[in-house]
Amino acid sequence: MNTSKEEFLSAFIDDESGEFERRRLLDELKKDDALGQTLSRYAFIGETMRASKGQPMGQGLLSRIQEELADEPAYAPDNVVAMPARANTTAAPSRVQAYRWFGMGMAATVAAVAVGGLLFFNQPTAPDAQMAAALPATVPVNAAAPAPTMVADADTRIQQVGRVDPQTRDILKQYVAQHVKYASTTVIAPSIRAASYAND
Amino acid sequence: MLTIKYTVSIAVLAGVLAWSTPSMANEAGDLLAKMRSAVHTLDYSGTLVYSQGNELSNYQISHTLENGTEKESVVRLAQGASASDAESFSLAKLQQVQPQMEAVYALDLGGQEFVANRNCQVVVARPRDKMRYLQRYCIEPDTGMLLKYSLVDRSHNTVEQLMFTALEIAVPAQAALQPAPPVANSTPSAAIPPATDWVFASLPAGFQQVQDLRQEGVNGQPPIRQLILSDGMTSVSVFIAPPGAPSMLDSIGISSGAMNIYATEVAQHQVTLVGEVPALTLQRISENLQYAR
Repeated sequence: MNTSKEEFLSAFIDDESGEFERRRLLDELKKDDALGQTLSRYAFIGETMRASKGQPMGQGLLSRIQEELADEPAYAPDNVVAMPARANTTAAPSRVQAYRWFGMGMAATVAAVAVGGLLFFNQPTAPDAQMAAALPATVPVNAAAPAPTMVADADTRIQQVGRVDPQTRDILKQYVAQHVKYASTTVIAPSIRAASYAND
Repeated sequence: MLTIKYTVSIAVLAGVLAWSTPSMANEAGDLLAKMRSAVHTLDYSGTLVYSQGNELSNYQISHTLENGTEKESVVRLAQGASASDAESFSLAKLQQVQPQMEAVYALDLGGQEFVANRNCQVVVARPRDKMRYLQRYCIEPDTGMLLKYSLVDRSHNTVEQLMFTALEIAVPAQAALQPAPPVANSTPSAAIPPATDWVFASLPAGFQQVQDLRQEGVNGQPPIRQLILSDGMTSVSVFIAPPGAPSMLDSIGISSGAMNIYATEVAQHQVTLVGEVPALTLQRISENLQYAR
């Protein structure tokens, strides 16, 4: 991400950008994961700083952005989970998959050559290696992009937390509480998670 | 001459990669183990921010070890209202590193960050498949204290994160001598032998059933079965309600931060899965759940 984008983002966060710029940034956010991460980080820092001054948290920027993005056709709300499509293990690899593997192979080759070159010419490598280690080694972002529209299976219905009936809500709360109490031996902040869920 | 240079270069590269990868993994695992001990044995107090989706909350936390007994206080700093306790929250719920977890997670050392006026080392537990989230820790190397934590999905989105904004740490005198106490999980209402009536035809790699509990029903409702699965770092609860129990009527999928809920019906029983894993994982588990009677 270049400097101008960061400045643009900063202006946006400070509510100093115009309508055209705001629209452009929203378009960018849909395409640029790094920009989205930076936005989250900026907002997180800003909210934290405001919280330390006794100001309310969590009601501002990110919520507004979520609302605006919700109007975009390609956006899927993050509190609704699509029922994943059943994996077809017998299907032949698609062209997209082939390109993905080819791309990954090329990326690995380029990375190996680059690292080898760096080692050979005695360039400092530690920061790069550390950054690489910190990044999740999953498939490329573009290749892993989910379907833009969440389509439920015919025999299932997806409901938002706020739309479930009271009985279902009570049952889910009970289950979440029991999961936190008995099963969450490995999660970092189980009760915070439960409290947040209950507050939804 | 140039060929020799390239050959030497490649040989050096291969050697470095072969040597450094296990070493970094060991170092990451050691740091993770140190962290899981430190949250039990250190005296610490501070403020942390927890984000889930676009929601943020603020907590004041303190933890002391007195005569081998852990004492904790956690207060949620509610906005515009009086503070409320969150008694069951505890960083000390972290368990020691399980051997089987390295089969499904690769441990990596990342860079260094500066959190709450302290330097910390990033450790990443990277899943080897798409059935779990990436876990990213930032740990102060000297004390082992966890300063920042996040769960990241396959699209590189952070689904939950926790970060100290202020922290004071004191190492108790006996901390170095005492092993980490066992996890203080609440005693389940009723533990029963492993299920033979409900079995899993298969499970996602690394997961195994670790508990089988019976939760008493509320207000005269029939008891609920809770099967707990774990891969060593994260867990899934499978709740099985008998026919006639209050049901949710529909199959649903709900996400709240890292926690997903997936409900369906198996052999006329309402089955609800809850866990800090992708929804796909819950669905895969439910598809392999079978009623054997």
